[in-house]
Amino acid sequence: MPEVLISRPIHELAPLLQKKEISPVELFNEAIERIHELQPKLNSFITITEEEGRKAAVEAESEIRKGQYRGPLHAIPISVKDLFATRGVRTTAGSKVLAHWIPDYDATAVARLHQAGMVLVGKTHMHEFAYGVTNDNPHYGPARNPWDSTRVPGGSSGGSAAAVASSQCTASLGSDSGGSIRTPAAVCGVVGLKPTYGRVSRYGAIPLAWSLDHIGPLTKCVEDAAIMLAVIAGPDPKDPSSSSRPLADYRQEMRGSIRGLRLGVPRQYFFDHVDTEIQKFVSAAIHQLEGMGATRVEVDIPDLENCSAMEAHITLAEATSYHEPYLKKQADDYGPGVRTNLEAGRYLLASDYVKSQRTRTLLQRNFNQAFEHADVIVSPTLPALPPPVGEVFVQSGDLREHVIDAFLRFNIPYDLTGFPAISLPCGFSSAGLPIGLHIAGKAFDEATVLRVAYAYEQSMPWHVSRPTSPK
Amino acid sequence: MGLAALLLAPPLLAEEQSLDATIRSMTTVTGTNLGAPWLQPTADLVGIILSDSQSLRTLDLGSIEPATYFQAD
Repeated sequence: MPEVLISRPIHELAPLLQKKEISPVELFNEAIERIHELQPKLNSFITITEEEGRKAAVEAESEIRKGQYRGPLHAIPISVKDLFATRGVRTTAGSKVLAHWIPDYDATAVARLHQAGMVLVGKTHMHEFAYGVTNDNPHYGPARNPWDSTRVPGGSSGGSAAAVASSQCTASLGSDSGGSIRTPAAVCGVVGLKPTYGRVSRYGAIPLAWSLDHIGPLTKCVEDAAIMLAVIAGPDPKDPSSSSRPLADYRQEMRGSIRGLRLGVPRQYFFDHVDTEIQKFVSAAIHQLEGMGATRVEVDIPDLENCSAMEAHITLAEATSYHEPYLKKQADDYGPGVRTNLEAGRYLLASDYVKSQRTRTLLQRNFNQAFEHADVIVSPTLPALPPPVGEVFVQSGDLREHVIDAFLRFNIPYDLTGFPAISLPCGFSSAGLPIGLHIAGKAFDEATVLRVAYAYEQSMPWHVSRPTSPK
Repeated sequence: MGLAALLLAPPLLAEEQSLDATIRSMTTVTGTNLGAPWLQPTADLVGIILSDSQSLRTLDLGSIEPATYFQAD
């Protein structure tokens, strides 16, 4: 696409908006034009909020003209995963079950984005109830990857990642319970940040699994992720799990040096059965970070082989519990994949659920021991490239596995422990598909995660590559 | 009669029930009568999860308590 405003990141647009050098309405018009152009090809949105967005853009223009500039998100076109309650705007969670639900309140993260002056351009496509990794949705059709529209965009925040990558909006809000921000970020070539559990309020986000759900941004670059996090983070009396731990100045701390910082490279699990091209680019990224002064440290993290079972027991139990009332009244409105998952949740043992929750404590201890020797832990975000829409198996190096197993594998440990993790682009496969670098940090230390990611991004600007218009 | 009864009786004691039969028999526990077309895929998924849970079930966690955000205040 030609260089247009909507293809630029927040941190470039914001000063131009503040100085009145560009018009919020003009920026919004570019976003809407792009959405209408790409929606038939990529299906990134479930609802396009053209009317509401235009009104917000006009208001932003008026406020900025009067000198009432609110901050770096003022007048920025942003999309929100269709799992967040939006006052007056249909919220389907990607399901027929909620096809006509129009909430009378905003999710806390959405309210904070509104307060910061965002212009909402639409509700993005998602895997039904966030219960999957491909965004192959039986009710709203499959969403597609902007780098190759025959392939999946990852999920469950796939519409958000595809919309940011293809410049249908500047940034998006997603959720991550088993990698649902980081997986689509990796396969669509954008930045996806899963903050620490409790850092961002979950209030108003339709739950998949309460104890695993995290809210975070998908953006064009690391600096934009820092800007978004600063707005949505912080305690919320409406979410009992939200934390009052103090927030860092993410944008400022992100710019610090990584000299002497310890990069933990796990000996186990995170480099097993990985596509050779992904392995190559992630190894190169680690070398790049070492070249910038970081120190590579090999770390041991035991018990990771239990993550898949733990995630299954926790997600199935919590999701089935949440959906029970809907299953009683609207069971036939679920797609077959999600319906099967929800039914299965009735037949697992409570003792396995509790054991999984207890094992999370063990896993946290194991990671905390690793973090005594390392400041961050680096790995691939995913072991495999995204499959064609409808294909359920992928090749992860020497292992052919189900796409769910592949896409959850490296993400789940950080949903189970709640530690912050980011995916950012670190290369492209020979087929032109983006590859994600995964950087995780200590609890509530998003600042260090962002610092390492920013340093890498500044030295290897893969993130500036954008897909050409899909056929 | 004694021998005939023994020969004709189903081998209940020695054989484990299949998962779909187990699920069918759990109606009183779950309050849900799961029939076609959901019974088989549900049984298959439960089977996969149980098979994947063997290592988890053998873990000795000692006195480790569950991760939770429950607060009494």
